Amino acid sequence: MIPDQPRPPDKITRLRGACFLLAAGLLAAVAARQMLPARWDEPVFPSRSMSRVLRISDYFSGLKHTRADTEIYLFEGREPGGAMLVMGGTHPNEPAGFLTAVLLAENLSVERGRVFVIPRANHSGFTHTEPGEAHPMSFAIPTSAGTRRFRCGCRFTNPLDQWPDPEVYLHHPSGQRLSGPETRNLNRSFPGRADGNFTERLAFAVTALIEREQIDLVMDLHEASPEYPVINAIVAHERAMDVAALANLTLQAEGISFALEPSPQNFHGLTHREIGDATPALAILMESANLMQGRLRGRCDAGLILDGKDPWYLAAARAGLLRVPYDEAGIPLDVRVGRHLAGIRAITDALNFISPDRAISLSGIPTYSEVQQRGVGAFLSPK
Amino acid sequence: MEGWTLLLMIAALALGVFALRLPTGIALFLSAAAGALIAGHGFPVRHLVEGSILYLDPILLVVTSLFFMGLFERSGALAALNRAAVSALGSRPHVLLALLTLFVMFPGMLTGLTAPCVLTTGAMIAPVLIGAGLSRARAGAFIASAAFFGMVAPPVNIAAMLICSGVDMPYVGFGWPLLLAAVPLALVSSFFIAGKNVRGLADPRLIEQLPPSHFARHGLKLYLPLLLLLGLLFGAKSFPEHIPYVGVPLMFVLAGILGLVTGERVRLTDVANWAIRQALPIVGLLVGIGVFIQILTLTGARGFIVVETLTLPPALLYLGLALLVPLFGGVSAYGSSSVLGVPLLLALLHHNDIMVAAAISLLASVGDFLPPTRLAVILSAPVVNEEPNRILRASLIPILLGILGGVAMILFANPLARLLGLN
Repeated sequence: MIPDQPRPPDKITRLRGACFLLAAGLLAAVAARQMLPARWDEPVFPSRSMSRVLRISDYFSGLKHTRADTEIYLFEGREPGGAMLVMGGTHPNEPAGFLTAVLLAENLSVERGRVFVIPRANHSGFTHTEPGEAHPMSFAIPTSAGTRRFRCGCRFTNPLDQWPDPEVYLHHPSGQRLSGPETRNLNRSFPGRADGNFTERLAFAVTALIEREQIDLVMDLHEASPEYPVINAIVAHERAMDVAALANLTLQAEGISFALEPSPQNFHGLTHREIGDATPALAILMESANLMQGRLRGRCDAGLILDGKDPWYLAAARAGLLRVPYDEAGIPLDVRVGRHLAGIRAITDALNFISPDRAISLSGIPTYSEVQQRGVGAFLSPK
Repeated sequence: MEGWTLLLMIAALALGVFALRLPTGIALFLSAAAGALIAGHGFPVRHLVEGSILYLDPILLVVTSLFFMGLFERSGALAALNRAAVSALGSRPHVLLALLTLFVMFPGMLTGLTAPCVLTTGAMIAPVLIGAGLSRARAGAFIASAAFFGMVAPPVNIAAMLICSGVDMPYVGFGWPLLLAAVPLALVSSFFIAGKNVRGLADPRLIEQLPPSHFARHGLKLYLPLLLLLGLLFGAKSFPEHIPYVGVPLMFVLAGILGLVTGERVRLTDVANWAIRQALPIVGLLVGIGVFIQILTLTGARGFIVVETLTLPPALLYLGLALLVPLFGGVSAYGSSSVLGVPLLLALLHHNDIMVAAAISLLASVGDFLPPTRLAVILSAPVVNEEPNRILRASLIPILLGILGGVAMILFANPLARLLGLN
């Protein structure tokens, strides 16, 4: 099978090889330069009522000096009350979740209780994009003093932080089997473990935060493709179902339609299942419809994130293939962020109604209609 | 526009491969660049480079499995293993052929990939098949077929896992459906391909045609690299607390390096050079496929394919399944499972979802035989020293069985699920 003396390449072959290597090196260098901004965090300008900036490594020192060590914005009211954690960027390719958390941190004021906001829950996932998906690296939002640029990352932790993937990911502690790359999916890694892989350690740190800070309510903000069955939905752990149901009634009264979904008991690793099981917190996840994540989408660019308009999704909607209403108006980012903000308000109000002793009093959050009228950019700090 | 872009990309690919006789990897890269240009994306360097690393892990797997096989052969272990198998089971050729099929399938069952099957166990049995009288083309088809069904067989079927991930469905309950999809069809294919040459396995002259064994000089020590490889593969899965998972490529390297001291003297650089030379066309192909998929997605041609498939009239949907899923699998089996498989599963929710996901994984994996990549065929070509197109022509039976089996599994998903206790 293996010849003893391989034939040495001739001059032309060597020259061709050298040219090929040079061209490949040049392409890689140009691409590296284009990809470099993914390493830089976009600034977040928290509102004046923010008390402190914490880091996830404050809750698990094993993440110090790693790309998992993300910022947590803490808002403390003058009166004692309950505690709430809002997570965006658990999946960094879901811009509405991330942007809602940023917008919340930049506008929130807390009169009673405490609110922890993590805009980039999987910080590592923001530092790369997923090969094969052709996602834009960022998108720009106009504000009153110019545009602000936000990254569109990857659903998974950067392989530079966790690699190689096993062929089969065995979730701890349930033993559930998922495809290998899911081992880098933060929302399949809860409750996490201190001696686990990079993503499991991050999940462990979030769980430790929830336990140490005695968090009452966790809201994890997500997006999904319009053909996905759980969409425009509130997914709640069984202990959080009363709060979620009451909130859903409020949202329906405001004309904002959400499906209310129970957290599946046999699907493990997700925030709404594992945080609800492992901690006393009420765990809720919200989904909006993002075309950029779908397999039916046409041309991929930042415009698709912003206006949510796509001819192929329109064709799919006409063929009855989608799980959300879809027409020529698209599903713009303003609508998706507005829905998340409305959900946060309604769920907090429901918690206050059901557990008044652990109430959290918030202000400064723009309403759904305000976001539709003025756009997300109007509520982002122009700094 | 997306439809025209797709047509242009396919035309550019055909021009590159057939008219200009470019390597398929380069033709894929150039057709992708042309597609991006015509769709108004210019020369999108970032996307071209990002797509090129889509299959980084399989690329490492191909290179390192060839490295392992090179050392295993040079150390004398391969010849010893072949002689031992023929001596033990030569009198029962049908049993031997069935066991050879399962032996080739084995690495695919653990990794969900065809490459380790073809390049390790497939390469190990190639001399036996050729010695038994199979033409090189049919020996290649036998190996490619078993590798294809090994990729589908449980416990690890990555295509099915990708579909599950896309719809948030646990990868649970797939054992029997995948066994049903893989093992009977694999055995039928093997016997069809081997034909009358099955009897050749019982020919006493076969053993004389095999390369000389060095077993007498080195003893069981010869098999230590194979045992180490299996130990690492199984150990990391069975005892993850004690044996760290280092990745299959590194396992191949470690096991291969052990082969330096367990048999005949081998020069490491000779084998490494050989492995790289053998792997280079395959690496180029995988890089080209990654770039092609990235640009298909960027330009919206991927969405065009998916929506056009899903909106076929119901009567044509099954025909679409039978043709389009394998054809897209010809670009990438995993891509086809993820891109077409997920929406198709959602569109077929009135059928048992586990059976449908298993069936789509079978259909998508047929793509490993089909152009432009013909991965299983391309990988088999150097193993049996034959032209890929001749191997492809000899692989008609597993291709047809894979497609018919996949469609039948979908059509009869509900009764089959009841039979297997899935409902």
